[in-house]
Amino acid sequence: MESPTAGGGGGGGEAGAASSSSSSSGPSTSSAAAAATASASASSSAVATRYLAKRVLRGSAVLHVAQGCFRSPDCVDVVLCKENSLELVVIGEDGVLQSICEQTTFGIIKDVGVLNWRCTHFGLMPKIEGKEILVILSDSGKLSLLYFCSEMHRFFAIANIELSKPGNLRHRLGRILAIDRESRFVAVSAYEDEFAFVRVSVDHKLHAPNGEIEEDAKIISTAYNTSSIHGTVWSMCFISTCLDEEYYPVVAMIVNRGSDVNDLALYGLDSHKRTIDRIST
Amino acid sequence: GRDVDVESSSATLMETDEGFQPVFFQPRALKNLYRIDEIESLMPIMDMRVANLFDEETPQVFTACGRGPRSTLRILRPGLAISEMARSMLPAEPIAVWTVKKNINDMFDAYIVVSFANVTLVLSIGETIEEVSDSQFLDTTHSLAVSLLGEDSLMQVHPNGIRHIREDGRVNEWRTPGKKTITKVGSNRLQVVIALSGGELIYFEMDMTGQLMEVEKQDMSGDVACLAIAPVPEGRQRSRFLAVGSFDNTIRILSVDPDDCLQPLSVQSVSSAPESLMFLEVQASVGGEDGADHPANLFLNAGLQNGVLFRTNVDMVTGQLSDTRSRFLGLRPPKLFPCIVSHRQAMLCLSSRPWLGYIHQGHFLLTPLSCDTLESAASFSSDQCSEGVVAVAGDALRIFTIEHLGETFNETAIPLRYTPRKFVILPKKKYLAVIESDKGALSAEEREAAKKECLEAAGVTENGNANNGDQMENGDGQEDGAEDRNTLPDEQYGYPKAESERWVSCIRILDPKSRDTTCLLELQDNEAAVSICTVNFHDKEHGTLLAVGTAKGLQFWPKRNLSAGFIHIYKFVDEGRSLELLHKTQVEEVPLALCQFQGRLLAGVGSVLRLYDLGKRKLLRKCENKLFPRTIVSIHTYRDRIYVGDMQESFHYCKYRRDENQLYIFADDSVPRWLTAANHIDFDTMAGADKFGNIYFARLPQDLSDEIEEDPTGGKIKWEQGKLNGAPNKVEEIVQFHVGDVVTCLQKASLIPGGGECLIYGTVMGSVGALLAFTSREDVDFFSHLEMHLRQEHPPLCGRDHMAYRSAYFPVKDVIDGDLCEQFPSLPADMQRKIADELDRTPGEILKKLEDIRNKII
Repeated sequence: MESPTAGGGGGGGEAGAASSSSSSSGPSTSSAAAAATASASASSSAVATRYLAKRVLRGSAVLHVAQGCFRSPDCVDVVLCKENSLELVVIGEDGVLQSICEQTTFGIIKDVGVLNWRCTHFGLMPKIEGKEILVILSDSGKLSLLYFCSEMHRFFAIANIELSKPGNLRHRLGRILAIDRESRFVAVSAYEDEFAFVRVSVDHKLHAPNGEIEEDAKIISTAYNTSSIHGTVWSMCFISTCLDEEYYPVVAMIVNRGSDVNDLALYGLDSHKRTIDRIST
Repeated sequence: GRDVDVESSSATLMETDEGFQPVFFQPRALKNLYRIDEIESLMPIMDMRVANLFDEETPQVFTACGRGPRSTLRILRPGLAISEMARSMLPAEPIAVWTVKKNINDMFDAYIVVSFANVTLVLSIGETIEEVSDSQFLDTTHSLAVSLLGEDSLMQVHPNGIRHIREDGRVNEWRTPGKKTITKVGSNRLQVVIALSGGELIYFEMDMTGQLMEVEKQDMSGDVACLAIAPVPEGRQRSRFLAVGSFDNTIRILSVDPDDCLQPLSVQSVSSAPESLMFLEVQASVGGEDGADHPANLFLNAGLQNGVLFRTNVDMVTGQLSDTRSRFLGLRPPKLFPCIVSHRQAMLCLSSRPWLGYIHQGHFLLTPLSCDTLESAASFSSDQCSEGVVAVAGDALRIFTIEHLGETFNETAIPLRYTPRKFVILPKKKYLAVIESDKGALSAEEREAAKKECLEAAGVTENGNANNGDQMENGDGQEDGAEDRNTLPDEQYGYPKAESERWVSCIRILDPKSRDTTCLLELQDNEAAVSICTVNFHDKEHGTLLAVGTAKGLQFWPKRNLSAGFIHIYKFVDEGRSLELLHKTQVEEVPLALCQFQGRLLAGVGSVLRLYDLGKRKLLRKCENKLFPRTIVSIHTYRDRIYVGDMQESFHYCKYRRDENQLYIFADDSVPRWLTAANHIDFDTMAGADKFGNIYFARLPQDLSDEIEEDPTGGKIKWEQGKLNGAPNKVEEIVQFHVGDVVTCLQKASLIPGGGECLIYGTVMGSVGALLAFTSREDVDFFSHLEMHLRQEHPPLCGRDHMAYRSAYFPVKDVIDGDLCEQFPSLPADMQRKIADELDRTPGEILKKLEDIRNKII
């Protein structure tokens, strides 16, 4: 790169010398802009202006939609995910979307899904009894399981399952989400190469010998990873049922391995060895 | 499906001598799905300006949004939109309006009662709204109040008495004693209080037989300014609380219980005489849509003479007033009226502009309505409009509904032809000049011609299949398909693609008031407009001119390339409504930044900063600096200082010495920033945003700035060699914040009259935010600690650490996240108390501070 100093040294010097006596100027006065505080140089860092950052209009571009029974077993709710906030809406009688609550996630939502646990895990977790669980992938690198608390009128996290580090790296898990129709497994993939099955469930309450509850039930998870995809994952869905003996679950995946056409690949969890195998392409 | 529809595919693209023919996507219309609602989006905001072009009380936000066929210029006004259902002219200017049911169990209102200076008009609500004369209301005087009393009787208060109209038609009239007149009225379903001239209060109550009985009298110390009675609690015979506003700037709560009737319970001083009073009851809720378990609450609202709305909490047992809030609404004293939105009680505050106070998602919101000044209003319910408002303004009676509750702005959209890139506001005529461009697209004329050709060909094919169509759908499918095919909106299906290297572009002059395009210049020959500014050259021959930077044959892949760049100079004709090309000047790179500077034009042409003057046939080069690292994307100027934004290397501070005709860089940033937006803050400070979603401020240290301004010849700066090929001085980054979304525009503006000036930003995802400078050290400390506590007690929903998120690329610095602080009300009550104790305050005080800071922005 060239030197930032202006060229033409000789000529510049002469011009400077010739005009030095006629171009003196006093120090300029800063304009008193309302948004910033002018300060004396001696104490400039001590009285730096602080700002409050606030969103006045939320982005309303809906990137992901999830439908389920989040508030109670008999209502049909829709969750709209918009980059870094989620909104729970209900379709009113006149067909107009009615907003119930809106929450900022302080992170970028990558994908969303619904765990249908209404008819399973009875009696273990009263707060999620009869409700479906919202599952969110975000740039926190975690798989977040959220339930809607009717008392507090907003979503709460019942579990944040760490899959990778925060950020948006292509090879880290956290981009595409798929949920088994039995809601036992969640499939998570990165943009490229990496893929995992996460088995999610509710652990039973621990009881002391005298019958008292020693510890509340909590979400448990087990992750099975593989890095052998070797391509860009476009889409995923589960295609298996629990009747499959050799492999359960099985995920169908559209992968691009650098050619002009995409591959349809099947990956399954080996029921005995608990490893992820490619079944077919 | 089995329908016989014309199919098209790009795989069958036909190559002709004229090149590839465009392919139009022609699906049939949906037959089994209906659209029931849609959500508007500003995504992406390409450019934004905040200005008051319509001389309204608050400025409007003008945003260039969308891309391709969805391009629009949107005008955002703060407030809720109204949907007008009816508007009728009245014989004179009314002073008040009420609606009234005949029976408490009726679903809809029966009458609209309009009061004029000396006359009362009664309108019946049915299929249509008609004047009636059999309502038993006294129509030869003006009315002070009209309401339903008890279950099935009506009441009219006029200056000389109270008229009680029973359901069977009997009328009981109570007349004022002596020559006194009624000046003020407060009432609910079972109780009435009147104030006579001179300050006497008389209290009435409905007894078990439905008769309105005088109960008590009381002399106040002066005239009464306003009255209000709280609603009757459920299951009770009466409400206990009467509010009396006095001209001595006080509001008193009196009891109307039998054992201490009209005795004072509490008193509150206010900043001005109250003009209007209203009790707003928040119903008890148990885990409903309103939110957590809350006991019933009673709020007293007062509109004061100085334009302030005063709100306070009334203790349900003792009548004590606490937790006061104030907010300036407008230049006129607010008048308060009850109404219903979303099936619950709300409050209309009519000042120089109307406001709506309502509960949304468990919070009380006070939002302006986007309409003209209203004089009086009442809730309105009819078969055609179940939840509306009837209001009077001027000499018109208006019926409208309030829509999109919870929104901050309402939008007006003006469609554009191509993706808007930038726009400027023309200062005198208040027009907008917008540049639009799209790549790989057809111009509008070509598209229409090709569409016509394609439809004709499709018609031929359709005729060829006529027999099949007839057999399967009896011809209806054919007709419907043919009809629908012509009306498929481009917004849904997009434009057809042209050759990928093809650009189309235009320059548009818009009148935002009439939403008309007064001039549209289509650029030819593969030219795309990329930058725009107004410039006043110093010779004053032409006045204000419009400079537009364009690029011809611009390609990005496989390698960035262009045929030529140009700077067009346009003259305004027809009083600024139209453009006339003066000349265009060829340049060697894309001129991505243009700016007026000391009667000349500064242009960023690739990595060269160049100063132009106006010539007769083209622009004349006067001075240039070729030492910028990458590509200049923004230029701001202030006096003789120039702030240049580079595409990859943040800001460079420059100075122009006119006597030597030299531009030189004296300071730059030490951090590379891929700039997407820039704005000038003050003489030493620039605000910028980068493509990773960060906003930052770069400031030249004060001593350096003084030194540069004191250097008479610039010799020190000129010859000083910077390190690593940079400038000899560095700016400091004093503010860092990760927004989480790419910011596309920055603007310094105030969104409310009298509010603090904020830095407003718009983002790719269509959100708008603000950075508000704190003005007191105490506020900084308070919000810093509140933010710290909320980071600990209320971590983000998806498991991200809040500080790590706001510091995703650079550590957050000198910015407090107001969105995180706003979540304090959603904490459990015990957690709120815990945090409040740590801050040595009460939860109510924290909520009040949050509300105050929000009201400083919008």
